[in-house]
Amino acid sequence: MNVSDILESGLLELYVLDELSVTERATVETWALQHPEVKSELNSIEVGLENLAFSQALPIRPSVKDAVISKIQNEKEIQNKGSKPTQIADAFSESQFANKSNTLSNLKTGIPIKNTELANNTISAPRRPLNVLSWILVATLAMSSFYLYNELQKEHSKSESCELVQRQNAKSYVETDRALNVLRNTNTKTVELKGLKIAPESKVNIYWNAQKAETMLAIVNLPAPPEKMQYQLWAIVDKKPVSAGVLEYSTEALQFMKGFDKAEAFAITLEKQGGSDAPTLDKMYVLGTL
Amino acid sequence: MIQTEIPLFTEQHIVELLQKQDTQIVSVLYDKYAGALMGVVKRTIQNEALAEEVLQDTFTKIWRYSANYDAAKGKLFTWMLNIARNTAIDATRAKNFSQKNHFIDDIVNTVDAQNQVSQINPDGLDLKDLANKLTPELFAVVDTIYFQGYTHVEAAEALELPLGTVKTRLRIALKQLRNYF
Repeated sequence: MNVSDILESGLLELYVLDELSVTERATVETWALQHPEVKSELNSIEVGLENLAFSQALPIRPSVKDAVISKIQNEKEIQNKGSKPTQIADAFSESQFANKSNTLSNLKTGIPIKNTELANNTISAPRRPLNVLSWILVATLAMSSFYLYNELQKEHSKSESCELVQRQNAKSYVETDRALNVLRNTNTKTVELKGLKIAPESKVNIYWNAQKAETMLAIVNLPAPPEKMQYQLWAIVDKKPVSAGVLEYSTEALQFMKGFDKAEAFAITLEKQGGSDAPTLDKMYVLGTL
Repeated sequence: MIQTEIPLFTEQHIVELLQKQDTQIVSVLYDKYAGALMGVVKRTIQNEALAEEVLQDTFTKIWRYSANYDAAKGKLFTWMLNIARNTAIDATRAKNFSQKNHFIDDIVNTVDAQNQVSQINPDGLDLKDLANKLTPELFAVVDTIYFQGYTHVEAAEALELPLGTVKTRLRIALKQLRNYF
């Protein structure tokens, strides 16, 4: 495709509106790196949409602002009290990394993610028998929830801890359900990323489902990152590294990363906080090929 | 937050403080973007109370997932806009469109609405102006995808147009609109 075909394709507009599949998205990002015209066109589209939105701005009752501020302050307090912010984004589109399906039938069929709604639900029995790995996951989550519950009871006043446990349970439910679906799926492959020279003891497992473009990660062993640094996962797609997002440093939880429908290898590098555009190759900790 | 301080915050400053999870920035962020985001939310959700709830959720998500925002990939507003759109769509579907049949009703309603451009203006301040700046065909595509939050695949179904036509019209419409701001 030459540059003017790219500009006229309509894909750039859909990219900005977060409407593209993972593969199409990666293609647009590659174009943007290769052609300055594409990059600047993307920017013009974004500025245009922003202006459009501002021209349609609406007044809001002042009480809404107070509610937003107090909600976020609560959230911050809860974070500070040790409940980890989850890396697992709501099922769809919390980020430009998110993998979004474009078909009607797949649309938003995921569980509604509102914590408040889920908090009151009980976990229903799975419809199919689980494999061993799934059971281990269930048990681990149950134990960690129980541990957390006990710890919280000790540390906080009753009302605070109840709220926390509720949130944690709601998150666990969503995470477990989505993780189980990946692990249960017979197309899911386990890719062992093995430690390289820099830290030979390191090990990270990737659970990758190409059909569903889901990528899940479990840190088995990885040195704690230095301050202001973060690990970043890369998928090697058509011999080029593509970012799959930065890692939350935790050996307890499974994390969802950006999904891929094809990849030749996965690797983790140490990068500046928030991640980099390209991997720092001499800081590659683990690597696993398919 | 003192009003006069607001212009001092560039997008870059806001992102930096947001990603540092500095709660001080929330007020600035809200003052700058809430109205525009509310405009987007209200196109999908006409109910005032529900729209307010969705706006709150949108800001909570912006706060919670700020680490996922990557300035190299686009503007902050684009990222927030897509969170707002998706939160609004999720809320609509959770409340009303949990079954596909309802969803089809919704599409039919949308198609009806497209045929009567002048009536689909519950709150939008300049939406009529906007509609007048585009041909009805172009406006229908922008309205369905951008404001009502359909994917381009759904929009093609709803408007009974080939996918390629939807893409082209969206491109032409957004390009024409650029000239008006």
